[in-house]
Amino acid sequence: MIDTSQSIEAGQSLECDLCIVGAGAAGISMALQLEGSGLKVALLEGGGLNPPPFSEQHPYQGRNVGREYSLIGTRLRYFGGTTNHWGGWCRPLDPIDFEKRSHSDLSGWPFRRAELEPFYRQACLLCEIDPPLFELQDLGDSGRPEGEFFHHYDPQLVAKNFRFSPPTRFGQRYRSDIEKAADITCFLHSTLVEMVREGGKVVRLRARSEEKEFFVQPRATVLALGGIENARLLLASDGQDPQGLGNQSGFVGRCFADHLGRTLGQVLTSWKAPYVMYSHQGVQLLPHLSLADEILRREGLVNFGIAFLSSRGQQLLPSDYLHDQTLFRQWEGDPKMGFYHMVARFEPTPNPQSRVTLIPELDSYGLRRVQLDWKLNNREFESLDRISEILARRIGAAGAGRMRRGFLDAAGARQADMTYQAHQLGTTRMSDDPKLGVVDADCRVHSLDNLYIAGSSVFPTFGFANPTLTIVALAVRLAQTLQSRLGTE
Amino acid sequence: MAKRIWTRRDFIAAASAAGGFALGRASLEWGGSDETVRLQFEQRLPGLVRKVSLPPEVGEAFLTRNPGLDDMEPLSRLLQQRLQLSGWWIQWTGLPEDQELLDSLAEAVRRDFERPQGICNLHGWYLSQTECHLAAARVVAIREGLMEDVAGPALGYAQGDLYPVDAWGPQSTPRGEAFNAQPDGSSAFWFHISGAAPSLKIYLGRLEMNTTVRDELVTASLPAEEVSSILRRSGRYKVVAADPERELQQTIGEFLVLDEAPQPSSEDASSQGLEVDSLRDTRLKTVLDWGPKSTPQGRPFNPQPSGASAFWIDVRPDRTESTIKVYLGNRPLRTTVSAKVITASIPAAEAESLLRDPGRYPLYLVSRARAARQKVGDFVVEAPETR
Repeated sequence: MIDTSQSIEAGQSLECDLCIVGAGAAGISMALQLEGSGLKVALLEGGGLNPPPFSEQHPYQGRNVGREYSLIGTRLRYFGGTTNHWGGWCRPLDPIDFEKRSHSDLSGWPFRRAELEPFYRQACLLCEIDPPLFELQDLGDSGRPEGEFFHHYDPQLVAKNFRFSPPTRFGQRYRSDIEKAADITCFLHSTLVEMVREGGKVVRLRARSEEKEFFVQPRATVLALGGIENARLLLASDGQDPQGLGNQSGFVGRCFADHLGRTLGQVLTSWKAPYVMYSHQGVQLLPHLSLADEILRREGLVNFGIAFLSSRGQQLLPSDYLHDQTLFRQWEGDPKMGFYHMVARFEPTPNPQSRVTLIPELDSYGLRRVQLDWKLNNREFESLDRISEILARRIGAAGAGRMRRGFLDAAGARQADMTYQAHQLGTTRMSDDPKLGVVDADCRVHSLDNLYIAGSSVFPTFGFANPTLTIVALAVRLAQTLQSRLGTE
Repeated sequence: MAKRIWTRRDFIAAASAAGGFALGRASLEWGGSDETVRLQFEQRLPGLVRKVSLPPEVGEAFLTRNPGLDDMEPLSRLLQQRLQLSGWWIQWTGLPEDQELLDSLAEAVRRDFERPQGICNLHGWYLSQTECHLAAARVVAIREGLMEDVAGPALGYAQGDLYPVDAWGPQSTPRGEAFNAQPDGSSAFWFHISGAAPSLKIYLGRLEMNTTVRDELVTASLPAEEVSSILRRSGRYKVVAADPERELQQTIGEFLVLDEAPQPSSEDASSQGLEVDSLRDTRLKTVLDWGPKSTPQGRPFNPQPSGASAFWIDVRPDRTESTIKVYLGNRPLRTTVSAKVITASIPAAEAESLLRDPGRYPLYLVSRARAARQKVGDFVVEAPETR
């Protein structure tokens, strides 16, 4: 059921098996998985069913002292969370994203991609991706775009596909399921302001609804508030732990990252280059150009994908440049060629100095506001420079086209405009080692028996794919873990 | 099956395969130096770059960045090194056939992208050094009159018949001289075209002109700054009509920027020698042979596929200048200088007037730079009664 919290009296204490804080993609997915499990679930949502009006007093308002970042525009505080403005981009993280790699000392997950495979399939169902397949070889030949993929010329120039959810607005799509759920109660306009620990357990949650304050006493709690608010709530819950709850490692709020976007340059190739949106058996696909894992590993590069955006030519090369079959005889594509901007989305690397902290200023709920200091590592720019060089050479050597680089060194890459994609990552990172992370492989806060975290804040390494599908897969996996654990206790 | 023509390379390869023979002696008898190979390669280079279509913009951008390479000699040297055309074997066997050289060039382009120093970065575009050297050689070859510039627009449209063109003009202009100048400084072409669509565009070479369609009269103009760029050097420019709606293009003809102001035709061969007569005589090249030495009145000689008549002058390879021009009387001919042979042609339209009158016409090699001439011999246009 959905309760607007008006039924809760001031000072009332609710008891439940599990309290999920935050009704976004992760929170709603978990709740749906646990319906019928026999567990009594409370789902707290700070907003209502509709977007709140913008206000300078918005709880997400904060101070930004690092790279430019919108603390309000990137987040939505109402039922369904940021799926309400999601573009629907879906792709699992790649197996290489789970590996320990040379591009960062902090890289790697505590488990391999295979661990998430069954949960990705369920995530696809929740995100309405059917069939749950992504790679070209799995999707078959029919409906392929007419142009040749670059791996036709050079197997190291691989394609990595995005697929698109309708997009599923989790609040709208699953509202009736939550309303009908017998074991789930969603409390709207209910903001968590503090978690109280006794020994190794969180025993009480203090929440506010308008002027009323109430309490929840769950057997277990899951924070599913998003990459900034998860860290904020841990840091703000400092009644017993001055450095914040579960922050023995000092990593709470650190390693903040977002996926980066940058035009890498321009390419002259077939006018039917397939790295653009197309429909395959009724499903929208957007293949991205990337490099084979062995090159990424060998060169210590960040993962990335490049989509093509049609553009006009940039001086020098005419559009029929590669028509000459004497000199460029490898070219087998359509003789008509085109220029494309190479729009790259790429992986940031964990940077402990990039962090969310709290400032003394309070919001209307009495919670300290956040300060964001977003920093990038130089590795990102070095990678971009090297990726650009490798692609320009391999595309040329393969005879697949010619590439114009948008910058010629790491300094050039650093100076360029960079976009971000409103994916808050890494602030409660996962690690087997309690000294290097906040949660363990089960998403449980290391120092606490019954506090869990869902969402992209647990990602220790980020890949380049949009995080929603992985967030949902991890949430489904966590729901299964909690069902097993709480059901046994 | 076509008859296979055996080359010296084939004989050598066959002989080597058969167990070899006195290679050292053969080398002594047939061989030359790497410099000889380079001269041979330089001689062949215009013919090779003619077979590949690299845009002048690439060659010009490369030469702007590398002014020291603005000549056939350093470019041929670089390409010779890239293709490894040196050493006793190549000196002995001679240069491979054109197709083999082109195959090697295509492979060199591919491999350049794998070599640390193989990249040529022009305005951010990653190109191979070899393709840049070839593009530059093409620009130099056109500039030196060793080949013609007949590039068209890069539209990617299919070739087709768009409209019948009844007449058009102007079709040539002297170098540096604006043609059909308009009050705003632009130069304009006119075309009589039946049924042209309003979307029709006319291109001069790769340049889109400002095109206006009024009934059967189509005009196309170029702004003064574009015109001055085109008129900087002599060459041929393809004139192309294109219809973007139908994605079709049609070649109308070629516009000529002439190397010199057109010479008035003369009926008296002796009166044509005035300018060249003022030059001092000196030996510019060692001429081994030349021809044709005569032709019947009014009949083209040594006709070329283009309809032009052509002379050939065999010379001894040397390091002297390659900017020599051939003159017939005081009429400059379209000249191609390579290491061992100089060719000079007379377009079909001009040959008709030239061969109208019997007489002896002196054939000269002329070096403007040295204000010098060298008489090759007399070309005889035979009167009917002498046949």
